[in-house]
Amino acid sequence: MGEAALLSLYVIVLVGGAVTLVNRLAGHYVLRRFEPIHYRVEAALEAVPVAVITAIVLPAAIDGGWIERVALVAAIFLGTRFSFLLAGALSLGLLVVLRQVFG
Amino acid sequence: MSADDGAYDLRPAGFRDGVSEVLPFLLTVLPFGMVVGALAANAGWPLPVALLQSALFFAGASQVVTIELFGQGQPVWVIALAVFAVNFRMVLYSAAIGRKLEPMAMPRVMSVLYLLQDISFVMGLKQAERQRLTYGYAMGNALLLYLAWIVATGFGVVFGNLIEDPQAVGLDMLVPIYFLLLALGFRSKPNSVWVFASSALAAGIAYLAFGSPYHIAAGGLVGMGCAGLLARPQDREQDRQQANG
Repeated sequence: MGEAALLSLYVIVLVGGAVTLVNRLAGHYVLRRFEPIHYRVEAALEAVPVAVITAIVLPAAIDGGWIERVALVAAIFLGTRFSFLLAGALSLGLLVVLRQVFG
Repeated sequence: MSADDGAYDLRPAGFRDGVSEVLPFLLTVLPFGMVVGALAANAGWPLPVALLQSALFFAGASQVVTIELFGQGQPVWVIALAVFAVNFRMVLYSAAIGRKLEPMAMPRVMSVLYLLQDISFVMGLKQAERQRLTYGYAMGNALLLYLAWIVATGFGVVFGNLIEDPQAVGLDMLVPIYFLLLALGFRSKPNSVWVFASSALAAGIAYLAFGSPYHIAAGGLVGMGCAGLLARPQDREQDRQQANG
């Protein structure tokens, strides 16, 4: 990694750390001043992580080949049945095997 | 003010309980910390930066998001917004647990909040329900996880550097799979299927039409809107009972 890239990496890690601290303090020191919160607003706020995580993961499904898509569909199937770690290990194992055989 | 709020008490009440009750969770925290470290190493991050990130973030999903988006060459503000959104649950945790921390002095409240994450949040609420959430319990609980997280990240970087062909072990797909499973973990929440589906649809359209990073904002906003529109007042009550149960 070049010097400029390393510098911007440090900036991003510091900014991200500051943002996370804001997340952790804002609930107690900011959000609580707006209580009671309307139930629709609360539902929308609670949906933020799922909605954003889904959006971030989508390009992998769009850009990936059939093996990657199979692994993602398998992860959905396994994720509803097994623990987080087991489902992750199994879907990753499936991906590795498929790549070995067909890749 | 109670006895355990004494500023010079080196063994605050409940510290030992906080540590011992969180021990089983190391089984999940250590592997995840190693995964995050391996991903950072795979993205070319030097060890000190990976350790600094774990010390400052102490939040796996947002660390993975940062590694992923930095690798894509996204600008700082996009990464900052993504981190804020992924860690948004902490805002809600902080509001809920802050109530239980109220008798403590502000530096103590802040240090508990600095180390707040999913496990300590749930354990803290349970402890508050059982007797009283003391500073010692909260810190014993969170500090062990914090140290374990940093150490695991370090090991992950070392092991990640040993992997010669990341593609062969599926490291490039670990992030999407991890996020997918993370999103699935929320499926007991009301209307989560619709949030998931509407976010995926909006993100897909935005990604194909405008490209990155607009898909993140599109998916996030549409998913939020969907949750707001479908929400019913009674869901909140049901949700609270689940959290307390």
